Amino acid sequence: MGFGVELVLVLALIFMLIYILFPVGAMILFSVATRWDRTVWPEGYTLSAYSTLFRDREFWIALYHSTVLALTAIALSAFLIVPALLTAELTLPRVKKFIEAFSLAPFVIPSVLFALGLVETYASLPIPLYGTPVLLTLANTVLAFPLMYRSVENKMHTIGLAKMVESAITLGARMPFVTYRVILPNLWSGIVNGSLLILSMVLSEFALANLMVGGSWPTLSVYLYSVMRVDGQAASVLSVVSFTFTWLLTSLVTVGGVRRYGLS
Amino acid sequence: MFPFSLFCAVFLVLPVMTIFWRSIQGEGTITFSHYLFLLRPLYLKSLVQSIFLSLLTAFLGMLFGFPAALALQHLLSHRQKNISITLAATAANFAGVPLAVAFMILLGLNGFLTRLLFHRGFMSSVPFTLYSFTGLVLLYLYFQIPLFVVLIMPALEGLRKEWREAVSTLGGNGYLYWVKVGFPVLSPALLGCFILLYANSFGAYATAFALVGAKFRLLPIQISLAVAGNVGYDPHAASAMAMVMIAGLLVLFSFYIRLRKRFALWVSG
Repeated sequence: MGFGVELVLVLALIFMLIYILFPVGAMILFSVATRWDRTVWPEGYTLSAYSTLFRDREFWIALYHSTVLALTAIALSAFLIVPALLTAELTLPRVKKFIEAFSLAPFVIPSVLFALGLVETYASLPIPLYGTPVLLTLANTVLAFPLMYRSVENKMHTIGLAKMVESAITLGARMPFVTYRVILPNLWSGIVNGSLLILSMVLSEFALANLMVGGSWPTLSVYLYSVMRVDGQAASVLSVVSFTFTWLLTSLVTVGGVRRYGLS
Repeated sequence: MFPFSLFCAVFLVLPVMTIFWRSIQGEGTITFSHYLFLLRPLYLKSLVQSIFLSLLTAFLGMLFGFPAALALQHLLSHRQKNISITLAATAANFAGVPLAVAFMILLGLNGFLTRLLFHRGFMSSVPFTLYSFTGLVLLYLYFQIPLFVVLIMPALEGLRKEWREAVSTLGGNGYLYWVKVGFPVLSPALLGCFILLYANSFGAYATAFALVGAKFRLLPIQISLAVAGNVGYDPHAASAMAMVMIAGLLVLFSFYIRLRKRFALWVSG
């Protein structure tokens, strides 16, 4: 490559890194500033915004709600997808295509449309499901499907789990034994990978939470949205926390795991 | 398998079918008149603006992302590359309300850069407001550029050294390699990533809602108003718009799957 070309490439890379880091830097600085609206640089530094946030009861409630959502979505998606995928692999290879199609469907359907569908379906039903955290949990589980599916399917494929299970059954092992001694230990890292992606997705999920339950059962991002309009500094603290979380979870997942379309 | 099928039927297939049903449901009959709502100025503007925003940010994402990805692949050490990719993946995942907060602090009415550039006399008037279409483009690029980098990386890694060596053995230079080998092999992957970026922006709701609010003319936002049960927003019209979106995305994704197969043929064959 010529020097000119190399220069362009390097400039593009530097541009991207600055584009990523600059807003984050401003956000961090704003969150620790005593006052930063008259001068170019902050007038002083303090951590009081952080301690205020961590003493706010509503923050902990929102965090609790988001955690409950994430854990339920993780557990449900694993319980639904792992057995379905294994059965398909072992007995009906043709069905696997359908499982794949359903698992990846949420990539195609934006969550606003999904919310519209759920509201139109369940709002008119006599059972009190619409507007409750229960329906939100179930909706988040569907959004979590692609993440769990990809991680588990990938792992299952690389280690040839279907063959292992088949051998275990041929040798006379019973299903509980196979589950605890063959399936779970071998699939564990795939499940953990998927769980981290789901945790990161649910903690920042806004569309479903805002449209389906909103302020009556606030999650982290709904809480952040309400804070943003009143107190910019509190919002910046929460955003810093959110970025840190996203970064931590992303670096824990195999390098390059992007939640949406996670095609790494 | 049965619980999974049941769950999908009740919480995935049924909602989509309901949207379809609402979009053609007339008073006692079937009608396509709800689709005519799309011709009203409000919805037409939203549709056009959604498509334009997605095309623009996908194109710019590719324009800035591709050279950055090449630099990552060819000019950085393994360690530097891993750190940069993790950062890019984080940015690609960082969207919605916190992203809007970050940009407001940087470029808002009294943001850091706004003060630095305009209030200190570098410019006399403020030519730009964050709470606009332009501002939205800047926010979307925050996740679109890194998303392109992360998505194109596997394809770049799939380009084989032998091809480049073969070109230079036969007397060709780097330019010839890219024109005759590199770009032709990469083009399905580039187009595929462009489609994913387009879809990513076309369905996005949280970022735009947090920055410019519920009045902004983008399809996901207009549809969300019907979900929230706002007066004057008809669920039938919203469903018709939703069907148009789903149809568009389905076409794009089936095209994407074909592109992927074509690229896989090259790098595995």
